[in-house]
Amino acid sequence: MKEAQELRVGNCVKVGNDLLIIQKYLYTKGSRGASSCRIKLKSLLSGNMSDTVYRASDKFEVVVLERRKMQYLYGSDGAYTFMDNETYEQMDLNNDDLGDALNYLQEQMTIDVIMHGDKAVGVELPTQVDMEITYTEPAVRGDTGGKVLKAATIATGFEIQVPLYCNIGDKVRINTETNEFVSRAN
Amino acid sequence: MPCSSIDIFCHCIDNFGDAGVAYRFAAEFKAANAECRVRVFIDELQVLSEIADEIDAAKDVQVCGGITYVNTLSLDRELIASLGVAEVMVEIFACHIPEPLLEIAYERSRLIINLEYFSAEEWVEGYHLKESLLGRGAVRKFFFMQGVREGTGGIIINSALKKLRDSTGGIDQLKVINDTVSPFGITVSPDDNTLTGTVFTYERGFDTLLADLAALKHPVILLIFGAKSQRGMSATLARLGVNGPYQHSIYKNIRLLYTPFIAQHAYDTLLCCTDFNIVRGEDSLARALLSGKPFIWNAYIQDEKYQRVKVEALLKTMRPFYKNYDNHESYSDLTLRFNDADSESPFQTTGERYADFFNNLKKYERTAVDIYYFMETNCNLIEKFCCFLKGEFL
Repeated sequence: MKEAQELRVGNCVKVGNDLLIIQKYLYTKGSRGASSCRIKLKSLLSGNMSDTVYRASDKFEVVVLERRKMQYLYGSDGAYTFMDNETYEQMDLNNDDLGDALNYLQEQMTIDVIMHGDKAVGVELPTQVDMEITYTEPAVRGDTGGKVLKAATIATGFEIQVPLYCNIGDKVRINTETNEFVSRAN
Repeated sequence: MPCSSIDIFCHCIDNFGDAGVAYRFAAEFKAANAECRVRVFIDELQVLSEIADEIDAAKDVQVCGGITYVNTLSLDRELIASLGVAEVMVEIFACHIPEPLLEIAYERSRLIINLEYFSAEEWVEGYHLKESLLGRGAVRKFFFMQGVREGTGGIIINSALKKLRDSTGGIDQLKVINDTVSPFGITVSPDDNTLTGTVFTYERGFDTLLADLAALKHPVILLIFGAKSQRGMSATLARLGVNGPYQHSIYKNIRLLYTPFIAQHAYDTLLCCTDFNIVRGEDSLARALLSGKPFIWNAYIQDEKYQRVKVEALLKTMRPFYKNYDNHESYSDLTLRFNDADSESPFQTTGERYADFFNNLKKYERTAVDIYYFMETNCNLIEKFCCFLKGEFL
């Protein structure tokens, strides 16, 4: 069993008789340490999506599904094509299947694709990814503390917060669970 | 009537906040739905009895004002069998419903509602009325988020107080204040030009508060509530060379009165009558927002001063009500500094200054009144709660 606060995008949980895959996940700190999690779930039985909220301490039975290493090839009209690195078989996932993973998905990236039977149902991002900054305000000289942050757009178009000393073209390491800057990667 | 029966569960963590919200919610729900069976299950009846005189802490099951109060710690198989469960089960602040009752609720109840802590943060709207899939029985569970934005569940409005304020003549503010200060042998008259304020905070120092009040030209009466505020004030007075005991002390133009705990309704009313209020925690903040009086909020102190995030969210929400940008800037600075503490201590001194606040109380009061009208019109929790139940049960 895992607590809701330990879950992450790509995990599969059993609720009643249904298997639900986590597609979006947001942890929020409430008052007096009472935290909660907003979780977007997709039923593997019905395909229905549910926008849910749980207490951070709510417990879930996690079901481990098969994962296959696949390379992301391209996306078009909301369909995203992946290729199995061993069999070269191609499979499509859609926006809902990918959820928050879309924030970090780049062509040529190798990623764990989650399988339910012979069907791809989602992906699991690595905990950290390296991404290039494509836009941010100019770096501030002398500020090396890293405590003051500014907005930066990464290669996928997603916006994160980075320290003031970061520049366009810098590669940065990002925690994909919290969307937080970890370090410079180059 | 949105449902036939409702059970409200409360686990008291500290002080009166949890019990206070459970009591307030039950009373207001009953007032709006007289035919509905309302029960409160609470693990510390003693706490409840201190804010509601009619509750007898020694009675495990009792009926007061049409509401049944049950001591959760007294629940045994026999009592559970006789009580059964309600159509709607409400967890106050994600407290756990006792397991044997929860097992029955899975099969027999229709809704479980987690009434969450109040927060002014933007994410609250996204969490409000979202479901927790349970996968058991027929019951469904939802989060009901208290908040100050229209898309949240709002806050519990004291309907009796509202009725009194709306009546011809409204509240006799001077009488309320004199009823509070008369046990100390004091009477306030309209000609005194006395500034009155309440103080109910977490443990802290009040050095700058007393310094800035002492700089005012008129008399001040501070009503100090709660052991934590009183400890902090005693430590401050000792630092200033004032000798105890401090139950009723005078420092320059300031009279400080350590006021005994008063019932919930009396506290709500008093906040509407003083010139300013310093309040702590979420429920007292809700009362301050509804008082129509200027206030300073002392947020619950969290790791890494996370309370500042909560305070900043509140200030952002209050910003549109300010006609004058400078006042909001000054108020924000005061409130953020007031909450810039990493732990509770009577020796704690934060760097806030109050001069602008006290010198512009009338301006701040106009803002406070606008906030009160907005809250009353758009953020009535019981109305929103009943509306949600009706939607679910149709």
